[in-house]
Amino acid sequence: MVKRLAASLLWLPLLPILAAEPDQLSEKHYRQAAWAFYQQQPALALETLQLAPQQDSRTQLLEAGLYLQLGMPGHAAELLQQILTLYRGDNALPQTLRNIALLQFARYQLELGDKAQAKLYLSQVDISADSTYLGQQQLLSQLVFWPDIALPAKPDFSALAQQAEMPYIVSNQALILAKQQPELALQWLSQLRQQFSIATEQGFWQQLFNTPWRSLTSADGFNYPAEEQQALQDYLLLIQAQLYISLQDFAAADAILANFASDSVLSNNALELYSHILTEQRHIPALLAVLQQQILRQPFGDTAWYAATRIGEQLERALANKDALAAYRWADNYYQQQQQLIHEQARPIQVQQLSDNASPWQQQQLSNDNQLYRLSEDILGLQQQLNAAPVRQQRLGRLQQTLQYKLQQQQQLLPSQLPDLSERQMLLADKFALLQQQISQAQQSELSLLLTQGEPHRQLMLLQNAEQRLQLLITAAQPQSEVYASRLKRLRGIMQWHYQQKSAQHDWQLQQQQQLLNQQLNQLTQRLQQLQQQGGQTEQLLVKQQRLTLLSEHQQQLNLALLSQQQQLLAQLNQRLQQRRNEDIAMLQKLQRHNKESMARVMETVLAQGSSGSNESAIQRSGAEL
Amino acid sequence: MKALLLCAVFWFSFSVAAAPTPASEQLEQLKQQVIQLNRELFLLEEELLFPPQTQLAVFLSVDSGQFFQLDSVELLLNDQPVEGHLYTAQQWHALQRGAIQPLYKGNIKAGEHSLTAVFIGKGPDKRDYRRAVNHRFNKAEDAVLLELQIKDRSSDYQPDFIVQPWSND
Repeated sequence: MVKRLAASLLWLPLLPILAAEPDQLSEKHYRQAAWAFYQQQPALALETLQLAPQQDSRTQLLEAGLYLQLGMPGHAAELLQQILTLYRGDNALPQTLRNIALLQFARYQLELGDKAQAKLYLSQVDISADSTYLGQQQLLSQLVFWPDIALPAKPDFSALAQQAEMPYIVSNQALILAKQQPELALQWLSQLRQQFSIATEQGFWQQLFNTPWRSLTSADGFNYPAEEQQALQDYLLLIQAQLYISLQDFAAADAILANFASDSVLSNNALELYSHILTEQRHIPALLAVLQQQILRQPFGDTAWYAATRIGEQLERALANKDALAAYRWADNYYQQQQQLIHEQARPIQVQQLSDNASPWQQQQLSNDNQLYRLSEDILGLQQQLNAAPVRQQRLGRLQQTLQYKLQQQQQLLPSQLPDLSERQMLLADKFALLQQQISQAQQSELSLLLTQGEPHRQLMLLQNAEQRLQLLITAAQPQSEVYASRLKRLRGIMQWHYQQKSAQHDWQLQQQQQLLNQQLNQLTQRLQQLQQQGGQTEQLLVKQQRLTLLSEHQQQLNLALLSQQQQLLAQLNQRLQQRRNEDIAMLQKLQRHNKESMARVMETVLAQGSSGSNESAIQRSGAEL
Repeated sequence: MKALLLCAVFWFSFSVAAAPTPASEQLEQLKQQVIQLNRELFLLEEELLFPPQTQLAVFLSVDSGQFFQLDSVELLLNDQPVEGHLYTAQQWHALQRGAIQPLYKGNIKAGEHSLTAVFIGKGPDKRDYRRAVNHRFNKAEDAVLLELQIKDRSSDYQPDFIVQPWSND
């Protein structure tokens, strides 16, 4: 049931994905969760969804569905309640999604047995604008209010067209109607069967190419999947037969049940009804065949056990005492064998056996008893979690290794690379400062190209030397000093003019040099900062290591808790199986006792009637065995 | 009549849930703890194995998918193949319904990189179709998240392949 709920809840909220804003990061998370969901990984989908930066009513609805998929109906219910109570006004869910939430929550409340709450949430479903969920709403309403359900004047096939639940709704109405007007109920069922039989089933190739991904639970018109369609047909036939029986029209019921498909999912129910009318009609040969079928088809079942003794009873009623005695003897053996088989097969079950290796008796108990089934499902669910533990352990181990590596890297990083880079930074900074100094000196100097290299620099040096020598000549009052001075002045003027012509280019070169040096210095400083930052990550890594240690501890504790819970549930399961075993044995012993009494009674009858010699010997044989 | 009532609700009553007991609540709590543990583990993995400074993540999505049906995709990072994926019908349908596939996650150095995605599938008129799309990007401090989008181009009825960077969290 929960899986069915989950499937319907999950299938529908994904529809409006494409209509939403594509740029939001939450939307991306939502769509990634959808990917995981379609890969049949609900846990991963939930994880992705919960990591989204923002949550809204739609993501929470999906989350609720995923919780149901993971077998956590309590969490799903909490979320659904939040969605229904918190989001109102502008934040409210679109009505379609709100209807889905209300219907699922009402159904969950019904499963819990809280009909009042289920009614409350069901009353809030509003399908006036969109009748997509009319079928679900009506069927759920029938279940909640059963047997006080609303009965229309006639079946509303047109309103329920395209609703997958239509046959169930109308047949439930017919069932209630049958209490007062069984004939009319039969008419309704007949009409329903006609509606249902107009279904045109798609051919294999059409199905293969056109509908590979159709949901199995959604109806397209009245085209149901073949199995469901057959089950529905059989179900309607069974109700009709039941109504004929209540009208004492055994012939009509017989006509239906005699031709009931033996491979139907409802064949056991049909056999039970059939045995009832055959008993009423005293059709002994047919009844014996039916009882034998029940014994064959329902091993370890009450029906088969009752059928075993009923064969003798029917023969006794038909006054076939010899056959009745043989049948009672057979039933006695049968009860003995059944007890022996139960003793053999009812040994304590292990977790590994639950999935595929349980004995036929254990399988029968697990599939017939809801509590046992849920217990076994819970145990298998826990096993699934425990199976995932080694993978988690591997992931933790990998993280531990990575963390160790990064911590070692940190420890080596600072002593090896940091001094080298610091030294290089200092050298570059010195060089930069020198260049700055030279530039400022040059800017202060008359000849701003003092710092230039090559030929102009050599010429300038020569000129300056000559000017120094001229000073000496002037001091010594040498002749022609003035001529030299004027020639040198001219030369300096020419050089000044020449330098000024090229000054722009030289200035640019200097600036480039300065920029390059500055760039190198910045890069180096940045690297140094990064390195220092990385060096500072040691503390963060240690925090992460602490988190990892906590996670490892948590994982171990959780594994223990899971294992302990699993063992508790297994003990409960085995205890209940043991109870069932005792009940079954007690039932078999009771039936065997009853059978022996019947056998004794037949023997007494035969003796009293002074039966023939062959009968007497048979009685004596039986008496000896008894 | 009892049997009949059981029949009436048979499609709902395969496994009617019992009221929650302390055991089932405890079970749910344990499952919740497993979910939390997995989430914390995932976050720690992200931080340690794929830190934003080196992370590159590639996603794939489809808008409509009328003119192209994806069979496979191959991903090359700086001309080196790093990821390939063959699509099942179910996966293709999931993409068409709006799901986003996390295709690749890895670590790269800071600087210039080139990502090439090669899409192979059936194009218009069910003809074999192969297209490559290249994207150059610069890896800096933040994680690089790229979405490969397959879109329908109605102007010439051809598919369009786009690389769309995501803004970071």
